[in-house]
Amino acid sequence: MTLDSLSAAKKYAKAMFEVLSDSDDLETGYADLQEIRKIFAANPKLIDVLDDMRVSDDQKKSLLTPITTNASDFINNFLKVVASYRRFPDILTIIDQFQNLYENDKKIVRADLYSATELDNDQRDRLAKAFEKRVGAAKVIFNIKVDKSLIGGIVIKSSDVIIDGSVRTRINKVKELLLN
Amino acid sequence: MSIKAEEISALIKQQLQGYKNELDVKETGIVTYVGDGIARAHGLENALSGELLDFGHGVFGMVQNLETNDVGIMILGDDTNIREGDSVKRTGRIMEVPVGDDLIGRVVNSLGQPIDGKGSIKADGHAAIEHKAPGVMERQSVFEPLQTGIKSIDSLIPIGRGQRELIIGDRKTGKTSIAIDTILNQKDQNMKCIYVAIGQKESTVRAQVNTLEKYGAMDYTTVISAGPSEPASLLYIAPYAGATMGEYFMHKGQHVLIVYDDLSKQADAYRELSLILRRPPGREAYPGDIFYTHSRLLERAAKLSDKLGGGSMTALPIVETQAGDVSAYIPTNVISITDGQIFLDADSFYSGVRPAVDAGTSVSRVGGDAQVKAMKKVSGTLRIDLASYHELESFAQFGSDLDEATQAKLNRGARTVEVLKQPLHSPVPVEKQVIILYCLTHGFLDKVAIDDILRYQQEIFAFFDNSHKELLDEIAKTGNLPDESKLNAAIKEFEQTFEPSKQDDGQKSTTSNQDQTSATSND
Repeated sequence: MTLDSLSAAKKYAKAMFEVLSDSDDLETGYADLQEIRKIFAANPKLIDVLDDMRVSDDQKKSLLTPITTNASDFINNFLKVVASYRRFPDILTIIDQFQNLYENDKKIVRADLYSATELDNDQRDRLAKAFEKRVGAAKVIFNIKVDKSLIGGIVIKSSDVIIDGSVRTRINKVKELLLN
Repeated sequence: MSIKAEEISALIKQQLQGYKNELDVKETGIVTYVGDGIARAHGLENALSGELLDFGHGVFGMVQNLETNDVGIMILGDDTNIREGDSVKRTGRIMEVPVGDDLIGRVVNSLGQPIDGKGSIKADGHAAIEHKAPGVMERQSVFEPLQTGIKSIDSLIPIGRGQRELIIGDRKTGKTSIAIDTILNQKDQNMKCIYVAIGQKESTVRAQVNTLEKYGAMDYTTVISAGPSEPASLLYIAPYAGATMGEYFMHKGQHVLIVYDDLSKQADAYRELSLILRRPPGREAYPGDIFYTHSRLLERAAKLSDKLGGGSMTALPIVETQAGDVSAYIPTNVISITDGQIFLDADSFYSGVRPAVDAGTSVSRVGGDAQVKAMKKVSGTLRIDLASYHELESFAQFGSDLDEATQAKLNRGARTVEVLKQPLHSPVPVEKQVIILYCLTHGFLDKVAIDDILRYQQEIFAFFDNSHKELLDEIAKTGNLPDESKLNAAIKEFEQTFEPSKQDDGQKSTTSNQDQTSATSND
């Protein structure tokens, strides 16, 4: 039975994380992987070609040389393993899972923040502080979007949890109470 | 001006009393697959098994599988409005149904919503459908009888309050009729009845409800129906919902009778869900926990200790067999869970012995203690009489000369079979059952022609009602057999008035034919 890509990606990510933590290279490894992610995300065709059986191994190698020549041993090994197990289609998921592990370890929390109006820097800082305290994180990275339909207030979405303090939801609640 | 601002604002204030201005924190997941009544969702990492999830638009789901990357959810309702990519919310609650006195006399679905068009139900409260069964110290052994009003059951396979007695047989052998007749006989017995129809045709359920209404049984009965057109998830939870509604009364010290009609269809619904949820199939493709599905349900039937009010819940699960095969998976499972079974035999049903209870294979493991003393006395030899009759019956067909003892046994057996026959929807109170069985076991019926027995029975019941009410009352009140000399005298007195019908062959066969046809049309 083949593993589905998510379960496989989690295993690859965990292995990489352990290798990097043992060799104390977590920060550089993380930065390198982010760069690789950018390359693959920008060139989706590259993944297709690397996964194609009709393309010879030499050609694949030459395609990857611009990446591999200056990269660390770790990145070279990573690409070799991915190539030999034909996991190139999952490479983005693997790096994302690695990022999850990395951020869990560093207690970094990512969250989507929707607000009705543009927030100024002071508001952002205060929100970040309050949210850090609530989830027990060392650092919060907000992805801020403006959503006028909220009418007022903000909504924070982080992994599974949604904290909804918008006026729209409150109005809906009142509506339900009045209708029932 | 007819609009009064003050009144209106007071009204609105009252409605808004429940509103609290607080942050709305919810945990959500994303639906990645939906179809065949189940959904899968990513996220929901803290979801609990059995938890209720909200899909929006009033559709709920129940968490079934917790896997590494996603959860498997069974959808309780219509899945057509759920799309891939929708978010699904945790509710933190588990599945609940309304309970209370208001449910009596109503027809509801598995979620406790009314489907009889009689308006909304004001529930006393809500209770979780999955409940832990009463433990060892919370129970006591079964001792009060539950009268089914069916002679062959009350005499041979007595059922006690708090017992679980399986009704098993092929299709069209009268399984449901026994359950319905038992409900009819609970009139004025201070008993609440719950009839759970699982996968029964809507028309059949309608007919049962009509029967219950006609005999006034809806005054103490709740019907839960999960029809074949509903999603399998609702069929699966229907018996648990019924048990929860029954437990409410049991814990209040009342007596409850619950009929699960039938558990083979519930097992099929659960098998469907499990296969779509990709749980590994086992024997007959049922999932591994199919035994637990039934055992945890039937274990909830109990006789509570006096400390807890002494309430009881008697369960009559029904299981359908294929071609009389009781060694199939579900029948053997349920037989081993219950405290006995009533086996209905297709052959005797078609030969006119109705109810077609097979005395040889039917047993009641605990009901004996609950049988009234008088009944115990008169029914003691019935089982042996029947067994030896069936054994000798095949010999008798050769028509050779039989000695007197054998002849007597055959006669007694034929009359026993005849006495135990009973038409549909005509339960007999226990004191009358005792009278006719007394006549049988004490040889009063040996002189009566077989075709006269039905009439003999009707007339002796009427005679006792009119002339010897005190004897009937004594049995009903004390449960003991009255002084035999009085009883014998009364029966002899009746015999003098009883006129055997003329031994005219033509007439005889027509009457018995009428019996047959009326029984068939009733079915």
